[in-house]
Amino acid sequence: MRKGNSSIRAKLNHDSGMLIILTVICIVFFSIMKPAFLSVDSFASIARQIPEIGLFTLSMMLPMLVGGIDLSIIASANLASILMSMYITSHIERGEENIPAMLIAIVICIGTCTAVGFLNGVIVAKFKIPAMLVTLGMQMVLTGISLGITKGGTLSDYPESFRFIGNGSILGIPMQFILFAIAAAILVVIMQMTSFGMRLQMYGSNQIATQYSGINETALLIKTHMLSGVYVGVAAIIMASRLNSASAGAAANYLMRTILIAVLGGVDPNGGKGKVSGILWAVLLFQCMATGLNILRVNSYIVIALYGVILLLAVIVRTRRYE
Amino acid sequence: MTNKSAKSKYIKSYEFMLLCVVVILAAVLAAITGGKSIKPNNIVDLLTSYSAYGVIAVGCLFVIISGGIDISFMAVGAVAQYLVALFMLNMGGNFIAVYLISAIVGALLGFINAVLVNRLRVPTLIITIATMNIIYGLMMRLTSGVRLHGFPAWFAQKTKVSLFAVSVGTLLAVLAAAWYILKKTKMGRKVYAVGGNAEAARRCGVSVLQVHLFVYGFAGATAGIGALIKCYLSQQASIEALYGNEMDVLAMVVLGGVALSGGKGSVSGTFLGILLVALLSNGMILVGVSSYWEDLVIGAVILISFCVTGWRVLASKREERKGGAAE
Repeated sequence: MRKGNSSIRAKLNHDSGMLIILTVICIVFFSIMKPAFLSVDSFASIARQIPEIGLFTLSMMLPMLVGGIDLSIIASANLASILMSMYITSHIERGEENIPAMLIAIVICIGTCTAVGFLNGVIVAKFKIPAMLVTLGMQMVLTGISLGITKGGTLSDYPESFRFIGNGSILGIPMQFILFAIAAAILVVIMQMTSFGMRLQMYGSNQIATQYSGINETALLIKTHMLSGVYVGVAAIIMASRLNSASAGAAANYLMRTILIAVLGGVDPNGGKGKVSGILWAVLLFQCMATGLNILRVNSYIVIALYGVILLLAVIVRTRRYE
Repeated sequence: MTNKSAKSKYIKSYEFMLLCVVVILAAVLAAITGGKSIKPNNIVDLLTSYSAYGVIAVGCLFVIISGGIDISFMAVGAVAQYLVALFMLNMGGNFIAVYLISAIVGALLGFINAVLVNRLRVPTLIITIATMNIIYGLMMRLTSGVRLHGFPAWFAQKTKVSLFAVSVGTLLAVLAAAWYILKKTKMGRKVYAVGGNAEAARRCGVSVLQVHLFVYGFAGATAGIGALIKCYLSQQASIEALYGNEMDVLAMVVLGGVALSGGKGSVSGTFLGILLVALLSNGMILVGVSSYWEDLVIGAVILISFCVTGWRVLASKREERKGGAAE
């Protein structure tokens, strides 16, 4: 690990290339420390874990691009998967398959997250309240609803076809990885080829100039938060399917990780800068590291502290670059 | 004349609105419980149980006025609490010593935040998330999550007087000190100046580093003292007792009308925010609402307060524009 950190400072400036080099260093380091790291199993587990955290990070990136942040993504995903679970358990008998009902459940899930994004966007854009505070309040509301519905319990048992999303694979590629690749590709297209994507990046880099250029700021912010919500919804489906359950407190430790990965991937927390490709490489780096630390059996609290250190280092290196 | 306009200004202020909400809520609760909830005993109990978070909220207020946010205060407080507990178990000491130690430990950790915030141009949320994780992770590893208890008699024996002095007394003292600093000292004005516009403040000769050191140090110190109160009330010290309850404290400050446009916020608002959260939680218990809904209610109140404040700002701006056009 020490090896990885010292080179962060010197080399991270060249973005994706550096993230790839760091990933390679990481892999080499862990394979030397523990040859078991270089096994099909560990890479399969990396491939299974990347999509969820990756989708969450993409949904964190969007509000960060416009100079905000979204602290409600995990709470939103949990509420959506709880609502989805309720629909599934009430409309599909155990052991039966019902594809139309399942599709409706998926629509409910993505719809819930998009609606949450819409609400966040409206409060942020209309009332000019910092996104951090709005989404913090929203997180409380959503967690409150989830807790109220489930009474702190866990909903589980989905039909086989639903579990396929998070556990199955096509031609050896995990199903959730395929979904993640499609979702990331769509986001690249949105960011690079649509006027919305261009406006989004412009707004983040200079808000006042964007306002004077006659862009509808309110609509832009609301759309950004809604798009972020869609990605949260997809992540929620994958997560519920993989865990075969939904609860109010699931994945609570993801929030800090998404911020860490976003900053590592080159998203400027002040807005404006950030690319999907950077996020993808950063997720790969992060997940290799997380899996490696897990295989080395590093104390989980030390891992938490280490993530804090990496976040600080990433911020230090990145801010130098922005200036 | 000026007196009158000051009065009308206060009536239009957020604090006054909040005061009305608190009074109405208290009245409704009193009506439901047949007057039980507004008996002095119940009010003192209520304040006692919220005194620890209230003290921490005051420190948080300073950070938010200065234009930042601090998420790490619970981790900082936990460190102070643990060290003070170790001190009491091994060396004894007295109340003055434990207050000093917890405040100093908290302030020192706060200084780390201050330097990072001052040097790095990224949102303070991200910096304090990082420091929170570092502190929490290291402390959990070092202590293995062991709880400390069995404190010396002077700390363990609670009389009515000492209970009141340590909890509500400390809260009132911290509130008074905070009010004095913000209203009557140069440093207080500098905190507002940096929160309003850090660059302008710097050009006026304010040392932003000094303000950051003061603000985050103060927040750390109050976190330490709050953690000490919590330790006194529960008679045990553990890293996990505080960690994860950041939202409860932030809710108090945010409801106090702070940070909605930067460089604003007041001690009286925060005090009302503390009362509001305490009344809401207490009220839900009295009415018999399941505690699972507590987060929802407080979160919803926060969001509503944002909408109301934001709407009022918009409305006043619209009025200003109209006024300007007429002239």
